Formats: sequence, C-alpha cells, structure tokens
Amino acid sequence: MIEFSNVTKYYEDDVVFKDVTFTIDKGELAFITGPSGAGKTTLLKLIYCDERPDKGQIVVAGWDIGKLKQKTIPYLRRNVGIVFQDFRLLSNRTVFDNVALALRIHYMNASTIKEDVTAVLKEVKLGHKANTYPQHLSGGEQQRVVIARAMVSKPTVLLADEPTGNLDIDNSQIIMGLFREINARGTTVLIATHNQELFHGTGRRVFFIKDHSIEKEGIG
Amino acid sequence: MKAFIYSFQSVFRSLWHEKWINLLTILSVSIGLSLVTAFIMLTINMDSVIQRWAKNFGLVVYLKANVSSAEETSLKNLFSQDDDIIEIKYISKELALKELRATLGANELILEGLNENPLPSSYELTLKSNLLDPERVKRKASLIEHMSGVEEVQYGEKWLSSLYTISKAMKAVTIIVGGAIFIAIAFMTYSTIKIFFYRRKDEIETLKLLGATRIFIRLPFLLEGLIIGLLGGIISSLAIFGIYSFTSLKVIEFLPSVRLFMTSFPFQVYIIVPLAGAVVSVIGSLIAVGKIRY
Repeated sequence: MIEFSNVTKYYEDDVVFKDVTFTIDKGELAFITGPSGAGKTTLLKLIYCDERPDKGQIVVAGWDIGKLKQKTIPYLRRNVGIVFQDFRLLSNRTVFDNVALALRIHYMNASTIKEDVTAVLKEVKLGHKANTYPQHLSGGEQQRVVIARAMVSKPTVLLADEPTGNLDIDNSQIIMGLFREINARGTTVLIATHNQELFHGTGRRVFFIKDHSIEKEGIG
Repeated sequence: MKAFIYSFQSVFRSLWHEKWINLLTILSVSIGLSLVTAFIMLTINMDSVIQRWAKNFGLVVYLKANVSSAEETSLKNLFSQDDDIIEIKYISKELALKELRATLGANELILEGLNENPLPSSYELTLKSNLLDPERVKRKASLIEHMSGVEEVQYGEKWLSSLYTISKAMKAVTIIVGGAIFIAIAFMTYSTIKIFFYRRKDEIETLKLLGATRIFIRLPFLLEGLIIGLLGGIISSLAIFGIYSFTSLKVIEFLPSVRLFMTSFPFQVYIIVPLAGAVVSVIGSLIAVGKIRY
C-alpha cells in the first residue's frame, strides 16, 4: 500500500532522508518512531504529497508520488485520511461542519453528509457535540474530531502525526482504540509518534528513524 | 452543478459575514462603471452633435465659364453614380447671381456696372456624414477637380479637419479613461478578494490537504467577484437611468439647449454595464486567487 524505494529528501542543502526503503502492507497498522526532528512529519508529508522525493520512488495506493501532477494530488489525498499534529480544525465552523468538510469536497448531497457525519461522530463518541465549536472542546475531543474528519470519507490509508502528543493516558488509549477499529475495517494505518508507550505490546511493526534513514524495524 | 450550488452557499455566507467590505467594493465598482458609462455617453452625444453639424457639409464644384451642357450632364451622371454623394444641387450662373443679389440686399447696386454675369455655374454636393474623413474628402475633391469642365472645388477643409480631430480626441480620451477605470475596478475587486483569500488561508490549506480540487477552492472567490461586479453594475445602471430620466424630464424644462446634446440612450447599456462589471471583477478575482499549488 505504501512503498518507499531508496528515497532521498533534502531541505535545501540539509539531508532529511537518505536511501530510505520500506513497505507498509495493505490493511496493516504500523508505527514510525524516532526523536523529535528525525523527519517523521516529513515522511508523512511525502506520503500525502505535501513534499516530493528528490531521489527514489514512493508509491501510495498505486500513485507514484514523484510523478504525480499538481491537478492529480487532490485525488490521491481523498484516499489518504490525515490526522494532523496541530489538528487543523476551523474555529469558525462547528464540529459537524468541520467533519462534513471532508465530504463537501466530494460535492456529496446534504442528506448523505448529515447521515455519514452523524454516524462517524457517534463512533468517536462526540454525537452530542456536533454543534459545538472546536475551541470549546478539550484536547482529546478535538483529536477525536480530527479522526472523525479523516475517517468519514473512508480512505484506504490513514496517517496520524503524533496523535496523542498532548493527551493524557486515558485519552491516548481512546484514540488508539479508534485507530485499531479503523484498521480492523481494512484501512491501512500509519502512526508517527515519539511516544514508545503507544506501540509497546501492540505486536505491530515499528520503523525506527535515526540518522536520516530507517535504522531498524521491529515489533512493538 | 453541485460545485456551483456549494460555491454559492459559501459565497452568500461570505457576502453576509463580510458585508461592509463587500458593500464598499460594490459601491466603488458602481461609481467606476458610472464614470465609464458617462464618458462613453458623452462621446456618443458629442459625436452625434458633430454628425448633425456635418450633415450640411458639402463640396462646391465650380464649373468653367465655357463648360458645355454635355459636360454638365456628364458630371451630374458621375456624381449620381458616386455612393458617397447623397445630394446634388445644380446652381446655374443665373441662380448664383440671383442668390448674390439677395445676399447683398440694399447693396446690390454695386452689381449694376457689370456687363455680363461673372459668376460660374456650380454643383453643390452633400456627402454622407459618416464619410467625412479629411483625407478622403481631399482625395475626392482632387479627383473632381481633374474632371472635364471643372474649374475649382471648394470645401471647408480646416473646419472639417477640426471637427474630425475633436471627434477623434474624444474617442481616444474615452478609451484611455475607460481603460484606466476598468483597471481600477479590477484592482478594487482584486484587493477585496485577496483580503478574503488571506483571511481564509488556514481553511484553504486544510481543504487542500483534505483533497479539495482547485475549482472547489477557487470557484467561491470567483463567484463572489462576479456578484460584486454584477451588483456594482446593476447599481450603476439604476443610477444612470435615474440621472438620465431626471435630465430628460426636469433639466430640459429649464435648459432646453441640453436637448441638442442628448442623444437617445440605448437600452442595451443597462445590460452591458452589469456584464462589463462582472467580467472585469472576475478578472480581478482570478488574479487575486492566483495559481493554487499543492
């Protein structure tokens, strides 16, 4: 589902990745870890084509990221749900509207949007907060809204960047439970985190980034 | 179609949320469009006055003293075949003298000493008023002057040239001023849409990351520009209609000479002005939104 082959990425003259090669299989839930500044976010950005590789090849759900034309990028992103580290929720829209945005870009009709958004908000236990504005929610609730927005369009791949970064243990467990549920439905999930507690005992594959490459691969 | 429905919802939300800045832009656009229309109408009216003056413009073809009647007939035939000439008037020697006597009135005694009529016979030719290009008239005069039996051709060369220059200058000024105002209108819409675009920068970034296409992102801004231009144009049309009606009904009562400068106001203007506003504003919005890069 996600294939990196000898990928090299520079930011100006600084090397971020050098000859990185790994594969995430279809339907897998995997982790990427490493210290802050190791390049976890950049790696996710390469997957949803916010950055392009300078060398090597990246294939996501059949799309060759290096060769993707500008006008094709939106269609790749519709297949990739993203849980952003900084949430990227719109403060002037309600929880419902924030989640609905992911469907409105598909020009879905209002009744389908209402049905799907209501269902997904129930799944993340935020059905009662549909008309609340994000700034009136706790960090954990905001994160669940972001997850709801990422999963409502039923993507084939879901990426999460430090999804429990600012959350307590209870909220972190709720969030991880949601990811497992999403993965159980067949969605490939890749979580970038520096928090080793998150993958310990999960039995999932973990890729360790160090010194601009995948230092090792292990099981959490 | 769905794209338009979604975009219109977004536009109306923005029009309401940003009503003051939108209102200000709409009014500025309408003032600009009214100025352009006023200039165009002024030029059309001036042109119509010039055309009216030029209606009586003609060439006077003086014939040689010894011109034969065959030559006179031949000249008349040639003038009749010329599409540029709309009226031919023959002034015989006798008629010319009679007209001179009438002009002199009490002073006609000065003609008493003449043994014979010194005045030549002539043709007065009226040309189509829309063909009064000085160069063209000059060429025609020179052509007639070389015809058999013609002594001289006279016409108000300087007068014609001045009228032509005024008409051309008015058109040039209208094009320059009109162009400048259109650029200003595009710039006004550009600035407003650019402000909205920056205010919604975070939303646009999020939309791009969620997989929104360029058209999904751009369309609301373009439609908002279109509505601003269209509303500005409609207000301008209403204002023009009001001013024109007021001038026709009230001002003419006190200043009847205004009628001389007022030509009919084409109905199409009321449609063209909003459309022009919409097109120019969409161009401004297109530049403001720029190229969306992912």
